[in-house]
Amino acid sequence: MHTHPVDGFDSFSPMDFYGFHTSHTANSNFSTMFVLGANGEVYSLTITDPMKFTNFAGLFPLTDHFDPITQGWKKGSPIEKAFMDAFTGLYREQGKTADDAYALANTYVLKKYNAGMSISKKNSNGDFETLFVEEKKDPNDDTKTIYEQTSTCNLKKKN
Amino acid sequence: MAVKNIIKTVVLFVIFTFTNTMNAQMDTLTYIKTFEINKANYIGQPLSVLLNDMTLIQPKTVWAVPITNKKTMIKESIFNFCEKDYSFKNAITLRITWQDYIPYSQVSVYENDNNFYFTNDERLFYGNKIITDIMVYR
Repeated sequence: MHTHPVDGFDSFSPMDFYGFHTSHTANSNFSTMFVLGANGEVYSLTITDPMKFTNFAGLFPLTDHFDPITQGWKKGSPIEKAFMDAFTGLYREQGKTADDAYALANTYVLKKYNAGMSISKKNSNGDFETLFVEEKKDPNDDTKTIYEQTSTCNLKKKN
Repeated sequence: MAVKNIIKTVVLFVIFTFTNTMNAQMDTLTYIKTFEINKANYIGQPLSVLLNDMTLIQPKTVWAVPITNKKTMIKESIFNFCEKDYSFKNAITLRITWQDYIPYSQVSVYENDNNFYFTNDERLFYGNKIITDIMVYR
C-alpha cells in the first residue's frame, strides 16, 4: 500500500504501472498493489494476464512512454494520445470527476494496450470492483466516439 | 441508358464528395502543421500572435491537459478545430505548452461557462499566455 498526495490523482499513475512491473520482476509473488488517494479512495492494481504483463514493458518501454517529470504518459506517445481522448471524453462529456476520469482513462489504455493488469476501486461495502471502460460509436453518428464506464468485463465478445 | 447515366452520375458525385472531404481534412492538418514547423516564430510569444497568424481557421474548442503529479495546475492546452462531439478520437490537435503553470481553478471557470468552446473569453484568457512549445498531430 502506498499513498498519493493531494496534488496527485487518487488512482494509479504510469509510474505505478512501470514500478509494479519492476517489483514483480524482482519478486514474482508481488502480484497486487494498493494505493490510498488523498480523497480517501482506495484502488488496487492486479495482474490479470501474466504473459501480457511481462510483455507490456518490453513492447512499451518506460523510456518511450513515461514522462519522469510529470510521472504521466509521455507527451505525444500513442498511449498518451489514447489516454487523453478517453480522459477528455469521460471527464468533460460523461461528467465524471477528474479523479474518476483519471482512473478510468488509465483503465481504458491498460486494456487497449494489453498491459495484463487491471484497476479496481474499493466501494462503500469494502469490496473491490474492477473498472471497465467501453469505447463505442454514437448510435446516431458513427463518426463520434463515446467512452463509458461499464460493468461488462468481456468487451471484445459483446455484440 | 437513362438508368446507366443516373448511376454514373451518382458514382461520380460520391467520388467527388469523398475526395473533397479527404482533401479538406488533409489541408487542415497540413495548415495547422505549418505552425509546428514554424514554432520558432511563436516560442516566447503570447498565443495571440499565433492566433493572429492563423488566418484560415481558428480553434473551436480548448481542453486542459491534466498533470499526473500536479492536478491543481496545467502546463498544456489542446486546441481542436472540429465540433466538440468529434474531439475525442483522431481530432486534428494543436497542443501548446505554456511558459508558466496556470491554476486549474482559473481554467475550470471558462470550461464551466463556455463548455470547452473557444469563445472570445478564452481568446482573452489564453491570448496573453506565453508559448514554450507547439505540437500538432491527429
